[in-house]
Amino acid sequence: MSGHETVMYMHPPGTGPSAPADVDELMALVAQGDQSAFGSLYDALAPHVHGLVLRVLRDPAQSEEVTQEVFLEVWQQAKRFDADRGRARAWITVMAHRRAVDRVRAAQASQERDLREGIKEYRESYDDVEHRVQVALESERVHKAMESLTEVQRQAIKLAYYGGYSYGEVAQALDLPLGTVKTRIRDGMIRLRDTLGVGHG
Amino acid sequence: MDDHLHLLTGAYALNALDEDERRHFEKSLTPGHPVAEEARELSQVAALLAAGTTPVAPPADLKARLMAQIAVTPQFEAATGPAGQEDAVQEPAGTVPAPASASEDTTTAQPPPSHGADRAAEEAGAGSARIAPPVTRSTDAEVVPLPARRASSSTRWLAAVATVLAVATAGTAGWAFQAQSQREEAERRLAAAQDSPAEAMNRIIAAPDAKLKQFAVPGGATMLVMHSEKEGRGGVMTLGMAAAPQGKSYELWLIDQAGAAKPAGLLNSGGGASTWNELPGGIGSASFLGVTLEPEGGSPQPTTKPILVESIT
Repeated sequence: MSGHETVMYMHPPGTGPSAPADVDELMALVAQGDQSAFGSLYDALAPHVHGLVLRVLRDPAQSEEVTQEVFLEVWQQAKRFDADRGRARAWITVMAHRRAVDRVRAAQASQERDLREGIKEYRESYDDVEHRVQVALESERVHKAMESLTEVQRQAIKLAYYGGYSYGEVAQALDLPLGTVKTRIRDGMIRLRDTLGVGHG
Repeated sequence: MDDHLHLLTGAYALNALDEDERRHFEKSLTPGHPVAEEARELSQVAALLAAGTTPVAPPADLKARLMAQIAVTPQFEAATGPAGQEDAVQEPAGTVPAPASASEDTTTAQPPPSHGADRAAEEAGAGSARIAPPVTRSTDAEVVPLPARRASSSTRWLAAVATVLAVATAGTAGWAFQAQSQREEAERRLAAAQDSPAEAMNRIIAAPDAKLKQFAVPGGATMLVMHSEKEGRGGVMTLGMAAAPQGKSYELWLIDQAGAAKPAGLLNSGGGASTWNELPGGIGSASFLGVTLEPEGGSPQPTTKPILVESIT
């Protein structure tokens, strides 16, 4: 991982352009049990975490619960966070996404909702979100990177990440063989990695 | 590592594997192996995709709730616990159980003051060895079925306790200001007692048949009673219980349907903080839990009107 200026929170500590709100410094304090630092960390990241969770789950009440779970886990796991291996913001984001996906899957399983119906609904609701997203400065780069993908890659990645669907469900929704979806997702993600400048190991 | 495993790195990073596949994938990863590296990088890419969402501020009270939660929630130590395989890709430890929101939900509502105690007290009379249980089942508290899914979580009861703590001390001015010292004391005690009670509670609450009930103790304190028949264990926690008067002790009683009271230990000293009492062997055949004020050191049978009698089954 090295100095691609475009990837704000992927830099090793101290080398990147000023990270917003010094999340990593706050994280180090939280790891020492500093509750007020946790409060500041929450202030810095809560809208980001909650926005992502809400995007995947779409249910405000459940999203609130998941956001709460995520931050509680941040507190509990703080000492185990290895600052040498990534930035706190990315770590927390990954955690939030996983929790949101777990929740959406659990909800799906319990409701046994019609997958195609769900995906159709998801796509419809996606459009206006996407419009707003385009305006957000931070997302512009991601959006551009997504544009560089093939249609299938983009669809599959969007459904999986923002919709919380498993690749099996994505395959079903896009009417493609499992293996194809697997490889399209991987190819697309590798492409994004290169476009977004996430360092090679 | 099997050959086609590397094809899953992208789906893994997007959390698009189902649970079994994810576990298998993580288990098969060797830290430093190119596939693990790729999974790690693609996970970082996935984290960037989050930037494609619009930030939304969570409801304002969420922060207050979280601050209350973390105040009584211990942090995992760096070296211990179920880390291991996740290290390969620096993921949040997926094996750490989720705090069960179910228990939070049910404990958030503050129960009204107990009426069962008065009723039982009238019927029992001072000096009686028998405490007549309330005729009707108490509706003050809900039995909280604890989901067996992802059991063995300290966060679960701690979350419940934190919520109770916040609610129990809440006032118009906000719990944070009113009950600062009380809360801090509770934190200290919980932290100091972290190993034994927490573990005991974990064992109880993790059981598939675990039950947790919450009562308001007259005077403003809160009591949590938890037990598992399967585990043959039980415990009583109080929050914000006033210290017993000089020369007196609070004594716990397990009371059966017939009203026979069996001593269940003296409440470990209170004084505005939290207490924890294990009920060795669980609640047995008891249907109710009672509390009386007894001479220091306790009595073999209740000698005063109970402060509280609640249904615990």
